[in-house]
Amino acid sequence: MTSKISFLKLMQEDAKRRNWMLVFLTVLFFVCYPVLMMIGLDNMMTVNDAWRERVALEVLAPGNIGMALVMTVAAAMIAASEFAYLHSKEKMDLYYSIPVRRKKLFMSGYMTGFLMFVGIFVASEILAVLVAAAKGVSPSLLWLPFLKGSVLHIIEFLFIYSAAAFAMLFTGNTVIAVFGMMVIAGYGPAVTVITEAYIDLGFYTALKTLRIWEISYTTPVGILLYMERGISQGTPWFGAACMTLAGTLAFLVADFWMCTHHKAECGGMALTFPKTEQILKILMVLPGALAVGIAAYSMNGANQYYWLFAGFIFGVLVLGMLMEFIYHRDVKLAFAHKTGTAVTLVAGIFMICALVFDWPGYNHWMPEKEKIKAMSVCSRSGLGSAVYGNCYITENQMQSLETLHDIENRLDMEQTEQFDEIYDLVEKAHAEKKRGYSEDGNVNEMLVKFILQNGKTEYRRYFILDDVWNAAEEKLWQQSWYQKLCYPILSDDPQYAEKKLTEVNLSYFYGDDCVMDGEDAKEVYRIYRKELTEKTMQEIKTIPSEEKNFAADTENMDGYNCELYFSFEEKTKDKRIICQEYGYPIQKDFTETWKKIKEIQKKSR
Amino acid sequence: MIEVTGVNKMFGEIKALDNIVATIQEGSIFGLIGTNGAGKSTLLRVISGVLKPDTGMALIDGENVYENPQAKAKIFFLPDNAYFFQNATAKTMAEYYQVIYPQFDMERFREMVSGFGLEFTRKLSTFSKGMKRQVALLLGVCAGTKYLICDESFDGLDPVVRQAVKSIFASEIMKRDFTPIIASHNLRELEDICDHVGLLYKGGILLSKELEEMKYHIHKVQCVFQNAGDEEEILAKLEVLQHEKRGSVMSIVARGTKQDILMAIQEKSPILAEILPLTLEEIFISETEVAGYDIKNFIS
Repeated sequence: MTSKISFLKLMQEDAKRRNWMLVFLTVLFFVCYPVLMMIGLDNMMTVNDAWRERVALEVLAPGNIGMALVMTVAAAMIAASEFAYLHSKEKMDLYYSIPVRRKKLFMSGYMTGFLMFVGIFVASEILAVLVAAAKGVSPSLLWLPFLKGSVLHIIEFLFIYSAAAFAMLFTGNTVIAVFGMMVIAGYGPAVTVITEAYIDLGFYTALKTLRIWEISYTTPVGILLYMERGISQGTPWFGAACMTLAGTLAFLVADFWMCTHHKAECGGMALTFPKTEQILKILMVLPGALAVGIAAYSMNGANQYYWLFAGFIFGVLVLGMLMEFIYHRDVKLAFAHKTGTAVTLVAGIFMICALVFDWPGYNHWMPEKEKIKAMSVCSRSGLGSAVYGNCYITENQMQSLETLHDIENRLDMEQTEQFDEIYDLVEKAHAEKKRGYSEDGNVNEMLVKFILQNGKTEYRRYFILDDVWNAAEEKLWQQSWYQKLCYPILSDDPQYAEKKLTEVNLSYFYGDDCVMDGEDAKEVYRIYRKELTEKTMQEIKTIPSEEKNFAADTENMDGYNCELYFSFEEKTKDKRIICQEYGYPIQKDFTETWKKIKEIQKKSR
Repeated sequence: MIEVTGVNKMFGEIKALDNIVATIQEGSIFGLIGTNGAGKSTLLRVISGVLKPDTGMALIDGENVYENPQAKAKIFFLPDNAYFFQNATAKTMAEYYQVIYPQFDMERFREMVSGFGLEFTRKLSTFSKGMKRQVALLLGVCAGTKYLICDESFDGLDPVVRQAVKSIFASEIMKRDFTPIIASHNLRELEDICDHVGLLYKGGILLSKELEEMKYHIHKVQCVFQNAGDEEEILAKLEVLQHEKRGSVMSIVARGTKQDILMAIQEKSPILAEILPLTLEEIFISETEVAGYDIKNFIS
């Protein structure tokens, strides 16, 4: 009886045949870490210490999106190299006949690739730290970010590596495996984009909730980028990290199962499990054909629905033939798996009809008043539609964008329980049944939020005639919740408190800005807020005729040709939060505000 | 002992193995003969644990070989197209097999490689097909496993090397517990080495017998009789498998011992009667014709 073969010895033997991979990884990480560090710091030698530290942190710390992509490439290449034996009958004759269990064989290859990567990656990072130290950056500042970055990138690597191994195990051909890796990476976003395109087409009242989930969560690469950005910028990252670890585990479990059930005779074939061909074909062809349908519909100027159906059917046939060719490499089998093709056609046509003819009744949904607790409304071309804001957090010399709001986001900021006016507007919109800007008449895109008694929230958008909207907005503007929704600086949100105000910037479209700070800024802020709330909707919306011709009057630039920006700052021990609000109107009839601004301008000259 | 019990294997719609039942005793050289596409390679891969049978199993000394390292440790599989690592030499392959088969005899391998006139540290990619086959065979012998499974491994070897390998096999069998299983479509190649043969045809075992037993019980005799009536009587008396007449000379292939057949013929006082040597090919053709299969058009 021969003794058990040592796992380490198997790895050693495997490593002996990976010289090219060693060279590739060494060059790759050497360039990405010590060389990049040197280049970055050399450029910063004349700047202060803080900037040099920042450059060093950008290379080592989490948040380097480029590194996440490098991990992806490295993981895919290593997996393709380690598990290429699965695609060669000659190699499997050797590996499957030796007295080593397939799981052990798989794990020895997996670990060889992983350890090779870890060794070279960590060594490159350490070299980068030494380069930074030699360039005057204190190592004590870098060790923690280095550790965080290392752990993060190793987790990223494992995730993609396990997914790539899955692709190698599931297919019998390396070219198709690479294609499979691209499908794993791109399928989620592709399906999401196609689904949203159809929802936009059919559910024309859809807003927010039918943006099914962020595209980044539908692909392993996106999850990694989301996690990377979250850890570096202090935005939520725990969910993405959990998904990464769960995804790695799921892929590993699948890999173990497949390596045990892998059939040697499938080497060289398209798929290792031929019974999955039909299902896979449906999963690939259906979204692809739907995309062809929507492309045909969009390209045709009249946007007739028959283009949608014709494009879809064409897509099913052509993509189906392509899939069969990939499977069999035989044109004569282009129409194999007829059942799958039929299922795809029926499913796709059913989906298209459901969306186009609104079978679920989404567009006609209108709850009874008694079922609504509160509502909110705004317009993409109404008051406050030009206003937007953002908020930056600076922590450990790394700045990140935390929030960004525009008119659509502000539906969540304010609402009212006195919503009769809004309800009437929605009823009118249902009656008019307008679907977009191409409809007759001047239409306004109205965004509505429903907060129901049962706690659920629904969002819709409607197209309503300008006159109808303007009449309603006149009344809405008299309500304080609507004023706050349109112009957030009017709200009670502490981030817009006067004590946090650092700057008011009067920005001219043509000419130099006028920046006010300190007490001057606070005074302008106070006056402007009061004046804004006292204006009528017409006064805010109507631009005096002399202000429209901004090209003619370049000396008197005030009014329409300007905007107000506001900056707010809050400092804590570890963070600095800067919020900025843009796009606030300051027509000439904001007389009190202009008077104060002119005083300040005069004082500063 | 290797046992194959009710093994079936399909590749899509193609039935590669059809209810194979076979036994390979230890200490013999087993020849697996079959035409192209008969299922030889498939059967050997099932026995080696490379392929999993759809039904049935292959047992190595009573243990199912599939995913069983203990059973696989007793076999060394030499496919028709052996895989060598990129840039590998005989030395590096031997080092690898030394890890896999701890009983691998490196010194002996080095001697044998040198004895065959091959370079120990030259890249195998620069070797000819025949030279690669030689290295593969030597690796298999020196691995020290109980069973050596060779799939058409003698193809591409020149007659001198072939004889040398056969001598090595014979020597190994004498020295230790060693059972080579050799698959080929060339009967003449196997005739002087195998002592047990199995014929595979369209995925099924047609017959499996000891070669000596087959030769002992089938003989070809050439004779000339004085009377035509004597010919008819002798054909009726013997268990004739095949007969033909050219001019006055009759050739008869009959089942029975040499003595019994000659005695029966001598009773008719023939002008001429002599036993002729039967080739393996003639034996197979005779046996399979009796079985109702006319395969002489297919065997080379």
